Amino acid sequence: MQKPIPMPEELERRIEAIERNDAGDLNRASWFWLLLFGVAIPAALLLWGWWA
Amino acid sequence: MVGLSAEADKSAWPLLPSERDWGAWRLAIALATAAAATWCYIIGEYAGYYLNFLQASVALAAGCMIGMLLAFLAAGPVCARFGIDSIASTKPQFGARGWVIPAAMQLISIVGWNSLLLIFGAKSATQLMITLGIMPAGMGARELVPAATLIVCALIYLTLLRGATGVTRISNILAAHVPIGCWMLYLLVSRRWPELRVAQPVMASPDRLWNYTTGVEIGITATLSWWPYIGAMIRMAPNARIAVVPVMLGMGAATALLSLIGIAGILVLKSSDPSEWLRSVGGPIYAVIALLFVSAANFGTAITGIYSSAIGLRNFAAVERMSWSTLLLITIAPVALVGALIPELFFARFGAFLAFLGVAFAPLCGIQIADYFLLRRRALDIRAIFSGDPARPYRSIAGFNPAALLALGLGCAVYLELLNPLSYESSGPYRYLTASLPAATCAAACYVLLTRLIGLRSAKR
Repeated sequence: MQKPIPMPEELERRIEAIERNDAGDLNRASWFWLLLFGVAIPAALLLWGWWA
Repeated sequence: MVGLSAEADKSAWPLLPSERDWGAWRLAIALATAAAATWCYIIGEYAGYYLNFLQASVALAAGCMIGMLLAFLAAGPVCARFGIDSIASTKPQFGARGWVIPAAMQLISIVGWNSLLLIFGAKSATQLMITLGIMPAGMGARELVPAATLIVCALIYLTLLRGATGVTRISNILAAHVPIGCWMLYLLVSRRWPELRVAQPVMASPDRLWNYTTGVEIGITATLSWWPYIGAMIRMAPNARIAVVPVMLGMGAATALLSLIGIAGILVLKSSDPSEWLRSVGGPIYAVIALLFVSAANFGTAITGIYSSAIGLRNFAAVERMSWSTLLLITIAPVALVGALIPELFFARFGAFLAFLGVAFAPLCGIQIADYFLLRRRALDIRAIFSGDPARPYRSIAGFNPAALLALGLGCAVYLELLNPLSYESSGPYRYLTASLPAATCAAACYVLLTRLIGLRSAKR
């Protein structure tokens, strides 16, 4: 059986701090901007460029 | 960079919330500096081979934004949430040892892009010196490239000895490349509009839809390869929400915008490199100002690339304890070798390099998106990413997750079936779907299916 390798002290401290304080994920506004810039605008551009 | 410790700055360890102090503007400037380099000219050039100015601009812009969306969704939420780089974010999918595959892809991509930058930079420097009368007109980039490459590599090395602090300082200055690029575009479009409007692409296929799709594909593959840069930069932001608009506009839109210079250049003047046509279009003073900025922008982007690559390499146990200066040397060496030994060969094969990026990064992004949003439902164990404890998740089978490896293989095969990266011959539904999007989708579907079927512990936890 493999022995667990101990983490460096500083790394351990960092992980503990991140586990205590999760920065959180994307919210509704983030998804709005992502869908606007990554889906809606490219789709509109492609349609316009094709028919122009 | 006030709160960032020197140790974290030069390691792949997660950044503390207090160290992630880049706001939206600062992030956008750093990302724009990373993306808006002279490689945009050559990206535009390739689109201009197949499409007229309007269609190439539109197809490339759409492709850039779609590619940026995929690259961001793959690495962005995890990197910004936990303060880690793109390579560390692949450990949950590929396993505690399998992440070396994305790491190798990252290294090849960054070496390729930075070699291209340095070759472009050397060409600009040659033109600048000819314009200033420092060099005789007969001398070309061929003689200067090896020496210029080594000089720039040495400057990058010295700048990065300070870690990310060097990146930040350079970014603040070199973001000026974006407005300068817009000015160069204005110059070309305003003075050559009648020719540009009617210019026809030299390599256009008789199939109009194929040309259009290829323009989109070039945009997608180019921005998919910003995947390594995304992690290294946005881990400086406090959360993913702040990073969304800077990534989409600072990287995606800036790349599309500056690529217009390459499209216009190749269509009207048969060269995408402004250093070759600025003198004839704008006169010697304009040429000197623009060339100075072009050379400087190359430098800024190369710095970001080398920094991202060095941070990615830190994930390897063998280099984890290596001094920062030695790691930088190892990271810069391949770029210096390509730029010094085979610059012309590499430059001539740029199309194949672009397609390689699609082959490699499209399936990778598909797998990461499926893993984080569908399988794990956004739950990740940050401790397991960095722990060497075999009892922790993400160990899989001998450190490799077969589901991810098979999915990656399938995604690459789908891409190659749809588009030959060397000849650009296509088959099947390429003209309707591109090659990157089906490759990413198939890789994602295969990964989800295999993980659910086999019930791999590593992929479920």
